[in-house]
Amino acid sequence: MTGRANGRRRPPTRRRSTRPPGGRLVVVLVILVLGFAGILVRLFVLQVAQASSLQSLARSQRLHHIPLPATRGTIYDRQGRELAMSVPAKAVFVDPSLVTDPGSEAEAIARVLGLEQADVYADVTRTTVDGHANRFAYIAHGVLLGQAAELQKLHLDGVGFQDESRRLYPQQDVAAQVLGVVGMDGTGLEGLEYQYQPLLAGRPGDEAVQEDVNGTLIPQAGQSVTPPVAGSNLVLTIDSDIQYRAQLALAQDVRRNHAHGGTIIVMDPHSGQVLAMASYPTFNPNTFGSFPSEDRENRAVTASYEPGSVNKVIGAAAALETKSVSVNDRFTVPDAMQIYDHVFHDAEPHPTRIMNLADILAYSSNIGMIEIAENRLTPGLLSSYLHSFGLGARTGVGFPGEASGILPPAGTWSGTSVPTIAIGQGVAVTPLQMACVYATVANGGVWVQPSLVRGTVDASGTYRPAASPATRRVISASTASQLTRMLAYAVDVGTGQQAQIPGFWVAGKTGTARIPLPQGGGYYTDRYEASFIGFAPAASPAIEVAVVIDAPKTVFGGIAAAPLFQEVERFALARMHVPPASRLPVPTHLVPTG
Amino acid sequence: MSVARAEPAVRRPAGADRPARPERRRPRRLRVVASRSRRRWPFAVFATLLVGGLLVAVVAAQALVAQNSFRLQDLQARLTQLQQAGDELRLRVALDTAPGRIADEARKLGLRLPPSDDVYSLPVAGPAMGRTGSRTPPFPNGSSPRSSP
Repeated sequence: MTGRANGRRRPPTRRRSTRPPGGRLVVVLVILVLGFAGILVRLFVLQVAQASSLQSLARSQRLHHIPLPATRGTIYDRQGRELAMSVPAKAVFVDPSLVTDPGSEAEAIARVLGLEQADVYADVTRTTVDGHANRFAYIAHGVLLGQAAELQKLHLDGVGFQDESRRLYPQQDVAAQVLGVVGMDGTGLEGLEYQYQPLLAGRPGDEAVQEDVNGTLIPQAGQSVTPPVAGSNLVLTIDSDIQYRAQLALAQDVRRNHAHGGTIIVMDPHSGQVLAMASYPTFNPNTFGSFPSEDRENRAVTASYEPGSVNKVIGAAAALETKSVSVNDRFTVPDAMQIYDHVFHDAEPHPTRIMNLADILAYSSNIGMIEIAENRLTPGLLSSYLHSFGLGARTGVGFPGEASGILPPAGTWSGTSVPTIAIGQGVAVTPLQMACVYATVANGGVWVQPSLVRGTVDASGTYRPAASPATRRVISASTASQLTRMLAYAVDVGTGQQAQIPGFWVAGKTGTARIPLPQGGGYYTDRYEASFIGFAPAASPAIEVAVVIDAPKTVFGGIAAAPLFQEVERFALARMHVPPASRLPVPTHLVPTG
Repeated sequence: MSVARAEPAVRRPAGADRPARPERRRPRRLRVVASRSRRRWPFAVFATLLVGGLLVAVVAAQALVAQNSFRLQDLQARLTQLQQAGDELRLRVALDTAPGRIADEARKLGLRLPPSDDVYSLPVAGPAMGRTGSRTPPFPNGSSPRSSP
């Protein structure tokens, strides 16, 4: 029933009051539209325009990256014994503002870690420049876990621990100059540690964790872990037993001869693998900071010296190879000879003798070798053989700081250069270069690049041998054989008799070289480099030893260096299970004639 | 053929012809009826059991996950501990087998290196052992027995 049916009409005023006015609706609509539009604009800005930057901001606030350090590779000797290894350790630090009893804490820390109490006390009471307590100071690095655990049990105020690793050299100073050292940040600084840094270091990993605003780990949040890749292990050619014995004998020899220092190299002449390499004085890489930098230098590779008479083997090789001299040629050899303005002498005065090449080498006659170089060789020929034997160029062993020595170009030689260089003065070589010269003779005339690394073992345990060494033929096998017999003769009857080893036939040559003044312009009158380089068994060479003694009071290589050669060569032969080889018959021309 | 009288299309309501009688109010009698809730209790029990069972299952699963997580953590900690112990033992072996330490111990026991003239090398039959130029890997099976992890 409607109002109309009832005959009544709804009052107009009431109808107007229930219907909102159009204007208000429009206003509300506009406000709502504007509001939603604002929200949409803001959404667009947040979700589209600034999306990437806000995402990265949120990620940076939430994500925390923890670096996972890679374990540095181990360095083994040729028998698989550790020469350098990394072990987990702790750095101990202190917040001095939290330390309540500095005296007793310093005493406890010093006792556990074996430090000076005064040093620790200075750390735990360290203040800033304006007198406030410092908030952080390292007390010790590389603390082994056992010591760290003992210290943790004391619950000392303000003392904290940080994970790190420590590089240790368990054999102390054995092969220290070859291995080098690693810095506080785990980076190789010297030696093989530096040379093989990329290989040994591995690749660090990363763990990304999510944290709330208070830094609390969000356990359910996703974590991404990139595991570290451990560094590869190095397997050296060094034998730690031979190395230890060589170092011990070298130190005793240097002391016995009141020398300044010395260098020794033991190598396999066929493969070029270095079995031992050491210089004296040496150092302990576990505490390398307390040694002078000169002691850390691997002088077998980085130092040059004038080789003296051991260089005569190159002139002899050139003369024999070019058939400029035959083994039967005889020379009239006085004890002095003037060439241009310079008078050359033999080591000791002697009456004029008749000598062949074997005698000249055996008795290390300067004048005999000068006669051969002056009359049978040309500067170009001598220079080319010096180069072929590897003088004036790095050996390729790759050791950091390797010296190339000094070999002046033949075009710049003066009238006295040929005789000077023929007797091993006026050129500079490294002990390793000179060892390679004799290894060439022992190896049948083939020069072999020396090596210190036998192979690598990667993180999965796979062994990869090092690349084969570069080789080149320098002299023929027959020339090498003739030279070997002459060098054996030098040990049998000549200047190298103290290098003889009972039961073995030894070949070698002594050297006594003058030492140039550091400012140039002459030589010391009372300082010499004494050396001996040889190998055994002469008939089937297996082990070569090169010895250089710096400024011994005993002067001569046959006295200062040959006994050291004998001791180390003998040990190395036994260590490598090398049996004696029968002597070859000594030809009649090698019987001394003068 | 008889023809039945057709029924009216629309049936009258009963009593339509009868005069309307005044409706007599009869007192309502209370009776017991089956309660609705009693009829739904199996469902409620079932639902409760289902939800409860699911809850227990979820909690059990969570507990299992958490337990495994704790176990994993424990095992990882144990692994780290064993690796550290292994490293320490490796270090101990390396220190003990160092030539210098062996020489020191030998010296303490009264041993000495013989003078070189006292040592004689006896020739042995067969080829030389330990030829230094060998390309054989130093470790058996081509891998290091002591390689770092």
